[in-house]
Amino acid sequence: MSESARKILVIEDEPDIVRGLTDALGFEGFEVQACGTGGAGLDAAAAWEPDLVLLDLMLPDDNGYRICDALRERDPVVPIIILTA
Amino acid sequence: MRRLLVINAIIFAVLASAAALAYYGYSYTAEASSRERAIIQDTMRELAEEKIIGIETPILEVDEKLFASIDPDRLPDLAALVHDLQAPVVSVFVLGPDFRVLPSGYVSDPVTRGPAFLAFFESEVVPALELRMLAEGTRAHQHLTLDGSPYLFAYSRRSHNGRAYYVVVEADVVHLVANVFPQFFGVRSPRLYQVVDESGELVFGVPFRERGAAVIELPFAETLSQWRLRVAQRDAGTQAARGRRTVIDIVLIGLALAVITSGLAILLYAVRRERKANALKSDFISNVSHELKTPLSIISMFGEMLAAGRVKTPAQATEYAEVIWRESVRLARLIDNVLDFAKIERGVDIYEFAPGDGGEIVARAVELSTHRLAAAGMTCTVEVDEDLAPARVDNNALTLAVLNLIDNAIKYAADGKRIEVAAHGQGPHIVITVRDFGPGIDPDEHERIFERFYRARAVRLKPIRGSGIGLALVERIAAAHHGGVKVDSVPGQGATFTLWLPAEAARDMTAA
Repeated sequence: MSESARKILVIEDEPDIVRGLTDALGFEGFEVQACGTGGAGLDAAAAWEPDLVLLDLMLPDDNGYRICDALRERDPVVPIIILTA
Repeated sequence: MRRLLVINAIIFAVLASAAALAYYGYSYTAEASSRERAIIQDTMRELAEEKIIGIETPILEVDEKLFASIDPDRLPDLAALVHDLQAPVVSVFVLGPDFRVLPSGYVSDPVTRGPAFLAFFESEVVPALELRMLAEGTRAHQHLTLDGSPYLFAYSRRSHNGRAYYVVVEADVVHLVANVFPQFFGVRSPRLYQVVDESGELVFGVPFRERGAAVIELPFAETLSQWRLRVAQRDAGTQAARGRRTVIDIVLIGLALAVITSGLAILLYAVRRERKANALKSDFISNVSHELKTPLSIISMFGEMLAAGRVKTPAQATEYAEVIWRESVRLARLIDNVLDFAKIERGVDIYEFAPGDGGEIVARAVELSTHRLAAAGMTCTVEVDEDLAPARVDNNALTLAVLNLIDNAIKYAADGKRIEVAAHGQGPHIVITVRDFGPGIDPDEHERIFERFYRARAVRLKPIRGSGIGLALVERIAAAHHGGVKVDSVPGQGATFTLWLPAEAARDMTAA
């Protein structure tokens, strides 16, 4: 599997940070998808099956820890990196 | 939770001990004063009894002496006998078994009694004495009031050679009142003793002057049987003062209890306030640190990408630089807010007042917000009166205040797409309004949002960065300009923040 095929899901609501992460990871050759809310992030994780999830703790619709639990329930092995302030 | 339990236990303990203290204080005071009263009454009763015995004993002794020394066979010597005894008697009668006065059986004071009294005695006194009821060798006293005058008779039934005879001795009541009583009761303090007759009329002494004094009243047991001796308390004045002191004591105890209770209430209130303030402060710290860290991480992220050359086009590099610039401006403003607020809270005078133009300040604040307005997809209209009066302002502070209001509108009312900023003259005031068309603010929060560290419920749930000091700072700046700030808002229809300050002309007038 080539690196370009690796998919990273970013769940973060601050647009500037999303922008920076998307650009930086895209520059490294990853495929990046961003979601502004925890609900959209869960949907995307189910549909898109990312190889890595970057998760913010302060989300408009839910607490990041609960989103993390929900992600783990669906997929016990996908790596999740939590972004704290 | 445990601390709360301990505090409650301490409060209970303080209240309980205060109540116990009050109870002991009260019961001690009450008991002491009632015991004191009882002691005084006992003392007075003993005194009265002593006086009565002291008065009656000499009378009885004289009577006995007369009864024993009168010989019915030697009645012509009666006058000499009575005279020799120097007894305080007015008249002496010796009666036969038929209750009639024997010949020569009457001796009397010639001035007050005389021969005429003999007839009165036989007709009025003898029936009243009930001599026939008397057993031999016994004596009795009769205290009579006849025709309004008091008489004191002592009488005894005796026998001589098998024949019964009676001796009746009339004591000198006038002498008793005029000489014996003063001697006994002391002329120096006549108000302490009174002798009253059967109808309550004063026989001896003067009316007691002091009100509320305890009075003990005892009858003369044997002789002056219808008279009573009254003893009044000598220190009635101090006793009344003591009573007042008891009342004062009780009032003081009540007062102390009230002070303890209210002190406790104030303490509780202070503790609660302090705890609330601490909670707000820690909210503030986490808000501010989030506020500080987010722009910092954005700056460092884009800075790192620029430094590492991870940009595809020059346009992208410019864009990154703009983000860095914007975030550093935001950061600078936040730091300004926090530092100014801290200074104001510490009471440092940070203002430099000079004549200024409200319209210019509004225009500058809007200009500084252009970039953020565009980023939020919002438009802003500015309306300033052409002939707006000048005002004494601190340009930077007032600009910061208007900027904070516009910032809030951008942050919390971006959905409304539109902001209206205006500066008008209104009477003696310059009024600056910032109107948004966002979700509005609940009426019950209209005052609280100006409290430091307080953030409205609706915005706390949103991922909007805020420190909770923006509006508090606006309020303090407005107050420093001798003005104020308020909000009018109907939830769902936006909010209008109004900041007013006196125009310079009006200020000069009020200053004069």
